[in-house]
Amino acid sequence: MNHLTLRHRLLILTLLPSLLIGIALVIYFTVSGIRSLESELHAKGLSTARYLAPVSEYGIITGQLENLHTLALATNQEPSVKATVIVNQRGRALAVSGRVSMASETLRQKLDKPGLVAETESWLAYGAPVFRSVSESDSLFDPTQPSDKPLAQEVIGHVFIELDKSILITRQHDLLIRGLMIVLVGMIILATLAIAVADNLSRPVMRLVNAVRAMSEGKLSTRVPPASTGELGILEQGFNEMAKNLDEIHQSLQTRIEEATVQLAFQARHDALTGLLNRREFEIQLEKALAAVQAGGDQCSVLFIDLDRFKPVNDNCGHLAGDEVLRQISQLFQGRLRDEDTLARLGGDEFGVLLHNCVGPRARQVAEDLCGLAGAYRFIWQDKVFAIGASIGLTQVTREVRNINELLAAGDAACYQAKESGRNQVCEQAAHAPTERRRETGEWVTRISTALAENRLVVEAIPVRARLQHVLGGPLVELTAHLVEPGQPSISLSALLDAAERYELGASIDLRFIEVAIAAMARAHQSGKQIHCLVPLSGSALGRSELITDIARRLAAENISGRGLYLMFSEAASTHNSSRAIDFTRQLRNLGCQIALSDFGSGLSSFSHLRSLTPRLVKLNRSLTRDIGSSRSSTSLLRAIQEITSDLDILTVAEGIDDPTLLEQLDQLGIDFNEGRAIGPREPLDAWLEGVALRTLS
Amino acid sequence: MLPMLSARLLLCLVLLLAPPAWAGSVTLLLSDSTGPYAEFSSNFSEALNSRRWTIHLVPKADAYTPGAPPTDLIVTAGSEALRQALQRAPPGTPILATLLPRQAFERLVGESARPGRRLTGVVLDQPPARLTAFIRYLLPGQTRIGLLTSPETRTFLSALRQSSGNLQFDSEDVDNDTALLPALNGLLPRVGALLALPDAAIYRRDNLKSILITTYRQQRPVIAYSSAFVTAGALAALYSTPTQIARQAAELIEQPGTLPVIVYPTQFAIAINANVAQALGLNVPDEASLRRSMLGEGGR
Repeated sequence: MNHLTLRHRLLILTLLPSLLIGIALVIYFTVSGIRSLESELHAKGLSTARYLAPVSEYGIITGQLENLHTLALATNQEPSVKATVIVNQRGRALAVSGRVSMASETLRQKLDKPGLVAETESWLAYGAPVFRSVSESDSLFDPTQPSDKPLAQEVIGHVFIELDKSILITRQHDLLIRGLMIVLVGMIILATLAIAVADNLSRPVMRLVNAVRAMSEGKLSTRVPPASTGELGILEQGFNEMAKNLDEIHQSLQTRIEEATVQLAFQARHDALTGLLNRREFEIQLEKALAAVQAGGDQCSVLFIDLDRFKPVNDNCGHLAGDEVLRQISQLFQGRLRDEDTLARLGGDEFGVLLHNCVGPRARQVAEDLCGLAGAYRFIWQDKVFAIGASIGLTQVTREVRNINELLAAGDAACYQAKESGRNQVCEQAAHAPTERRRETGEWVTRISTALAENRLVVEAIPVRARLQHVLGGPLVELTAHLVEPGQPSISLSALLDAAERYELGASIDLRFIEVAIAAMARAHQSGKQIHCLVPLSGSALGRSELITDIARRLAAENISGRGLYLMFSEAASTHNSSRAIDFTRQLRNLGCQIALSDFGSGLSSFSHLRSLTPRLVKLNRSLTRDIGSSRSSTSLLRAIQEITSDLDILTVAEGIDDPTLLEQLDQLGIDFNEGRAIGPREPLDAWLEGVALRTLS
Repeated sequence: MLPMLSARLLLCLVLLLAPPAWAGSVTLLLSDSTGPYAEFSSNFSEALNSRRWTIHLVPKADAYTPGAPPTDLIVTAGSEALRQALQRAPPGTPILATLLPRQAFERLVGESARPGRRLTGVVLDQPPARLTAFIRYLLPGQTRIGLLTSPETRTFLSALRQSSGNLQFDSEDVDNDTALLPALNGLLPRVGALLALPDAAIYRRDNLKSILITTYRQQRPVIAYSSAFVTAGALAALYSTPTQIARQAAELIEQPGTLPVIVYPTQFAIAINANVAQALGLNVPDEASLRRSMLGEGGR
């Protein structure tokens, strides 16, 4: 029933009950007709027998067989009667007419009233007893039989008749066939009507069904002709409205999907924070550029930029500040670049630049410019100022480059090299040269721990020249170190500290320096000498109490004062933790130790530190002394600083002095100490110590 | 044997039965309390002088107890009443039997075999002379009359023949049932009508119809002895009603004198079935003129 269409269901609904009722009626009327015919036949049989019986009485009594035979023949003339038998009291046939089918036992039976005696498919037999009739008589003359007692009727014989049922069967067939014909005709008329009605009803429904099907297949423009009235009309109208709404919704959804797709495509290609291209897109651009170059197009260069000192911003001011830095830096870089150049954020604080049609010195110049911009850039967040730098790796896209992986590797390595070499500078590396990849986190942790354990951290002395002898009452030396590993190029302290700060390993290096410095001081003390050690500490050392405890313990163990121990922080580090820095420096001074600030002059708050931290010594930023002699503004800035520091009785150190001619100028400006290649090369601390001792002894 | 007995009884009764002329008590014994017996009872009581006679009515013959109260005369109505009276009544008490056919009376008297009892029967049978007169007036053209006789009624035939006049009586003997219809079929073609005499051996309720049909088939009228027979299909009947018999019995009791053993009814009635007459194509006189004719002849 479920797979039938509406039309079929309607037809079944209309025709099936009618057909069943029709057939039932035909059967009913046929059966009842037959019943009435049967009962008619029955009545006829009974009445015939009943009439025949008394008529036969006289013949039976008198034994007039001709008479009985005449009666039997007459009875047989009756329609349907096929045989008549009259028997006497003992069942012997007195008269027979027609073909008798009854058994002789039937003829011998005793009946007390007329009735059916035998029946088969084709005939019926009725029998009736023949009674001796009794008349009214005068009881006076019949004394033996009182009149009031009914005389038992004597049966003197029987009559039997057989009725033929063939007529009945024929009539039955006639009735059935006639009835079925009527039903057939009725059904044909009904079917015609039902089909018309079903079509009338199912056609609009089918139109709706087809429309719904078309809709579900996605043809949203489908509409139904509103041809019907009544509920179907409402349905059609409703469908059309629904379809219209659906169509509109679909259209707007499509628009929104397209918009979202565009947005997603943009997001897939761009960095959400800065709006620059992302790494994936950058690599695609690189592929294109490489393909163009290999196809003989213009050569181009790629810059890999890693921001320096970005982590402190994140650590101290949170990610909002870090994000702001990245946004500002990206704008800064974008301002410097041409429209055809591609700037992308490769992730974290790494940027990539594809310089089209720009190679060699020009590319180098762009890189230097960006480096300068990053170096000069100051990020101000609330009351804090951060100096950010950029280590930039430069690599050229040439035809020899096989794939962008080579480019990426080379750029990465160059960037790493720049960072190794003291940050905020540009290094170049060819793409096809063998490269050293940057080490990763886990590697750094094990390397530094292993190096400290195996004493691979070689502590060196940077000799410091004093403008005036005996200003401190002993030689000043700055400690530095580099990591020596077998089969590897040595790693500079700045790179080491950079890594150490990233992975929270600064403390162990700090302790190592302090240990070495105090040991050296103790050794000099034993020789009756006093030396002053400038010990660089990592930014994280500030506020670490175990450092104070360690220093106190070591000084006490060597039984020396901390006067010669100059603990040096970068100006930036002290800026970020000013309150902690003040507390920390106070504790150090209580131990008799001295405070020194490195990178002085790199931030705007440099001067405020002089008051709050009250350092004994400041090491001037390299940028202050780099252009001395050639730039008047630098010289006057240096002079102003010198005036302020000397007023506060703070010693000044100028670093990176490679040119001996500058020394005189610095002396004139009043800078107290100088270091750099012009003063002397780095040497192992022990060697320096021996040298100082020798020199002093001689 | 029966005629011999009858003669002896007749003699005895003539000698012994002296009806009392004075007042006495009568016991009326009925075979049954319904129908003709009731009719008889009421008419008898009416006809008998009640100042002289006291009547003790026993409505059911089998409830009769003799001697209580003592009675001078027993009147029985019907065969059963007579049977009981003969069995139970004191031998000295005279019995007047009424309302029964002669055949039954004679048989009962023969069965009781009590000589010396005073007994008179007022029978239902019509006297032969009256019968022949009736036939003559009824069917003037018919001279041959047939009868069916059993041994018990054969004696009556001779009496009938004595008063037959120009009538010739032809008879067939019927000794048993199976012989009835053949005898009838044999008789009828020879005669112009069938005279049925009261004979329980021949005419019975269950064969009356066959007899009548047979006579009808042969277009012979039947002259019967009771109105019921006429109703069943006989042409006419000469008979006496219970009322007539009751009056006659009362008269007999009142009249002093001797009585014969068998007394024929003095009064009679005639019944004619006009339909039968019509069916047989007979033009018969009506009952009243018939009766007049018969009374005019003086045949009482």
